[in-house]
Amino acid sequence: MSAQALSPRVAVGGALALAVVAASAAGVIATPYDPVAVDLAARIEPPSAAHWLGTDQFGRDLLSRLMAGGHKSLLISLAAVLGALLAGVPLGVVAGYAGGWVDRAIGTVLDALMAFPSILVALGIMSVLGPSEGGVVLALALAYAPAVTRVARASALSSRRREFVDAARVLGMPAPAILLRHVLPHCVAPVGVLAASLLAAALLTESALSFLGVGVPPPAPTWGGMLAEGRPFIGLADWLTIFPGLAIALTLLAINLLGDALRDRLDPRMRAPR
Amino acid sequence: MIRYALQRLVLAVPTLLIAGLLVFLLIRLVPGDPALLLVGDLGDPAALEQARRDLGLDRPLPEQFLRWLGGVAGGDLGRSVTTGEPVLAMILERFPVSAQVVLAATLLAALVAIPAGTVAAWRQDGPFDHAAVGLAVLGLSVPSFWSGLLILILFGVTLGWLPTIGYVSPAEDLAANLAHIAMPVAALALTEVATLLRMTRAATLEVMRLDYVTHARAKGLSDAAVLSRHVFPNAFGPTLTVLGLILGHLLGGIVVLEKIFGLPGMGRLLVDAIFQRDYPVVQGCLLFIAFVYVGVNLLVDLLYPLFDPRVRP
Amino acid sequence: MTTPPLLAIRGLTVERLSPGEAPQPVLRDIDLDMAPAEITGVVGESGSGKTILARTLLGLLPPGFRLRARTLSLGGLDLAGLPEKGFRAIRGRDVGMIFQEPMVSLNPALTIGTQMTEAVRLHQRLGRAEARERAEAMLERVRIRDAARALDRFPHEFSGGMRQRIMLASVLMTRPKLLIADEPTTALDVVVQREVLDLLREVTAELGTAVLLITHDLGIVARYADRVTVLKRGDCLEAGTTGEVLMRPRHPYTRGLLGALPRRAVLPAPKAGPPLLSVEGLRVGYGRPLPWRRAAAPMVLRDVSFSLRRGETLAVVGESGSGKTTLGRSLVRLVDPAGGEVRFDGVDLRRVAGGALRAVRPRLQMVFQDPASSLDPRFTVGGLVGEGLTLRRDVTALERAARVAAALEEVGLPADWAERRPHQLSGGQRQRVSIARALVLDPDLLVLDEPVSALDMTVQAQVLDLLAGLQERRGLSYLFITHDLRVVDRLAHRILVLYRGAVVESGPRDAVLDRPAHPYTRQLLSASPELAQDAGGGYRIAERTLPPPLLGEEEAYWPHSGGVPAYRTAGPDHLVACRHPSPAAPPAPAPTREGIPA
Repeated sequence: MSAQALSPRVAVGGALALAVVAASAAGVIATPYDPVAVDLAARIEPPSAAHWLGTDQFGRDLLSRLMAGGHKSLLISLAAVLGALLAGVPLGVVAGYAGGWVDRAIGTVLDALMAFPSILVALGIMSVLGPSEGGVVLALALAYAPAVTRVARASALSSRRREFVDAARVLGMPAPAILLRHVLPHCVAPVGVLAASLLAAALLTESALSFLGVGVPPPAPTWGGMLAEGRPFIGLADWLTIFPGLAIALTLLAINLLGDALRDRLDPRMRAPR
Repeated sequence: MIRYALQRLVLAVPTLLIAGLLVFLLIRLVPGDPALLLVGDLGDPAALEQARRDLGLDRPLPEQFLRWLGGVAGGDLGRSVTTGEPVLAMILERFPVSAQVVLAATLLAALVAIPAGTVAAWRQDGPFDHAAVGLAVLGLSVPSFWSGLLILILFGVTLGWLPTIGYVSPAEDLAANLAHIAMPVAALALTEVATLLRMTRAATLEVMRLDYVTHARAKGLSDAAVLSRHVFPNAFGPTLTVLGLILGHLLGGIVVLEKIFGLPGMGRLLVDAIFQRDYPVVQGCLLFIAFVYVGVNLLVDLLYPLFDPRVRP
Repeated sequence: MTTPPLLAIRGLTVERLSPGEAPQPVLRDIDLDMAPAEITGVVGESGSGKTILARTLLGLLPPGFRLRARTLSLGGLDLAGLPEKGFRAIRGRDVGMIFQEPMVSLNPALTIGTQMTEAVRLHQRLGRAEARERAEAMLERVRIRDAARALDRFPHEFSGGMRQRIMLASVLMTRPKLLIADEPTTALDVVVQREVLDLLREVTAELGTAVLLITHDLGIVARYADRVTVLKRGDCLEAGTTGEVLMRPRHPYTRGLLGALPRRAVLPAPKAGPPLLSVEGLRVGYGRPLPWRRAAAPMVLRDVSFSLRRGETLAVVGESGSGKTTLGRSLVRLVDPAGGEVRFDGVDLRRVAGGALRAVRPRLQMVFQDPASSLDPRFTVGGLVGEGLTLRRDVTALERAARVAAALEEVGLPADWAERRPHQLSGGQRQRVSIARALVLDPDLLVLDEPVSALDMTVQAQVLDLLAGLQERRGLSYLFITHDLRVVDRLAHRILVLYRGAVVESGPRDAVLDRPAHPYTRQLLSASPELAQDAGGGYRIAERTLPPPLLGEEEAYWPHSGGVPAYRTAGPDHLVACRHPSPAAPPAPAPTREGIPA
């Protein structure tokens, strides 16, 4: 194999990711301006030397708000994906390996859950729980767990058919040992690739929920919420719409680029003969 | 073939039943008096009690579920707490709007992405492929509600070419209808073009590796002939399956876009109902969308044998 | 040759170009001549470059390959500098190719008729009706029944052998000058192989088509090829008429290939005493049929009975669908039989459980067919070999490592390879690891499921030698599942012939192979070409001369005609399945009894 030169994809994705994480981390500690401080004298100012990204209708510095809002969105998305993995992987692996009625039972419930587009699952749960951070995490984790279960199940099924699982059975290994040693490690790759795309989806959905007003409750700044706040000012203060969306898009781009690179490393089948 | 269709239909039933159960239980999880939630504050305790008995809310939970199911089967999804209208009627009024936008977006995305993905795969690593893949990643990363807002700013406000809010039915005035839905359709399609292009490209690459493609080339067929007769029909099957999933994304994305563009669709209905705590409407919308989603996937399942004779019964 | 050759190749070199590295030759200075209606065999093991040769002649080299040649001409047309457009004109018209995998060589989405007529309509501008007529005639030529209807059916409706015949018909429709057949029958059963190759020879002789037959099987070359070229790692080591090359092989590699062909060996006698394994009336079904269908449900294995002594090898021979793999799997309890008795050293294998099962499992081990799939790629060799020992609490980690090292050395691998991973090893080495994994548990019986089918000839010979040696030293018993009768010659004491789930013949190796009683066994034997070495050290194709049949077609038992087989004796310990018990003699006992005389 040729040297692992940093492909442009990994370079750009990595750089973006680092930038976003750094800015968000800084957002927790120190921002140029206090994200919630109101400054009525500086309302609706376009980007300038003093306020790099401009100010909103309360005079709050946009850059500071973006930095402060970042860590919440990121943490919520991460927690949601982790939750989905923790629930979905064991369920999927057991369903795939055990087969039979266990598999069918789990499968039917999953199919039912997957009959709802994930944002609607989240909306439904939020409508019951009311706006809260924990609620968003729970809603998203539940929305994405079925996808994780599906992929884990498919991996377990394909591993079960491979002869090395048969070989372990003939050696006398008990089923839990086979699951842990042979089946589970093989699903890390496909689940990992899925996790990357779920992270992007979670961020997207969380922003959408905040945009709609059913996500994280105010006054905490979130990128989606900022987009919603900027809507009445379209035509007057377009920067209030452009920059929060740009933040979301750049973060998603970073996740997608790195996720793609990960997938290509793990799945070398994309080459076709001429 | 009829048997196959019936088989698929029968398999969909338990899914729908459990989906219904999930929706039913969800609403029951809301803290508070179920009668108040489902009927609203009538002000009169006696009337509330009457409503409670009418709806069977004093019966055990499993019986409630069966009654509710029975109602659903008959088309009764309850009445809105805020307006008193029958929920199903409200949904049926709004659904065509959402459906039109979603279908138009899917069609647009398919028309662009499928040929582009196929060609990108055929000339893998060529300039077109690199461009297509690059654009696809960008498209994937742009949230549809942001692109919707940006398109709104550009075409609606700055250039003033298209109306920014509202909706006109195509039956009334087709041109106005198209003008109103052009922007939301474009925003939705943008993301889906990316997903569909990647999927088509991947499926095409898979097929290209197979012997019969080499065999077709060994017959001396031109590239175009090999692509269209041998590669595409076999690559389209997996793509078709993904279309079902894409519809799910779109049904989700439309929720936000309807708010941005002021379209009187189902998404708007659902979100407003959540804010107004109009639980019968919330319940009805969720159930309806689940039905539509399952129905679409069923349709895709039935279309699949057209492209893969091996599956034909 | 007096007439100019149809295909002339002189000094063909193909190199693979990698950026930043020197070009790697895949074919080096190859010379080859072919005349019309002549079959030239190209023999080589994996990595020899034979597939690249085929692709070069079609102009279908993958990107990154470069060719140069002094001469490369087909019927006078220079192929070396031919642009893509030129190749497209000759592909399908003058040059045709059939591939190895019948499953994926035909487009599943198009009818046979559409695919068959494509080339002919493109190159010879035939109308639809005319092209269809020709296709139908061609299908009849390759003996596809009901040719007209077949044209409208899809590939998945035909079996593998039929698909290869359809491919053959399809490619020969344009009467090409050259047909390239790349391992056309490797994926097919032996009997079907013979049908397809006989047909190939017949039709190409009639049409005057030259055939380039690429294969790794010397037996096929001996029987069908007029000339042969031996390739190794891109070099042509030997070429000439088949008779010459076989009788007087000049290059040591060729001699090595010929020597690697498994031959009948004299084997040490198995141990006396009661059988180690005895199986009676074994029945295995598909899945779990509904109770009211159970009686008539088709079975994978039906009433299989046999016994195996210590130090003995029983070869289970059959084609795909015979149930031989299921037999092996049911012995190690990967599959649950529906009925029958299995006794291993006195233990009832079907009913044993708990501690008793844990005690008996290590004694019955299995070696699988696919060396790539049976070793978990994430483990080290040492981890894989020692895995069975991790269950034994009385074995410390240190002791485990020592036993792993010993097992590796026993199979001929260096002990320090325990740190390596499977993907760093070749196919043959991986099979040795599989064997070591089984040996480390000190088994009495090994079930080997086609362990050498996926290996090159020379490697095959090494592994078979290893297995023979292990049996002698350790007194192991083998249940050896295979479809290759030559391997049976090398290793087996006794043979069990399975056909569609039933035992049709069983007995000592020499008896069954030299005096086959059942028509199916005779079919298998005549289908596999045998090379015999004569006094001068050369080889020649030996058509097996079989004594007149003991049973006629109608007398023999055929599983698909239903009913229960009755076993008759055809010799000492030699049983054959008949439709009816012999009227004169009392029926022979089912082939399993304690204390069968050695």
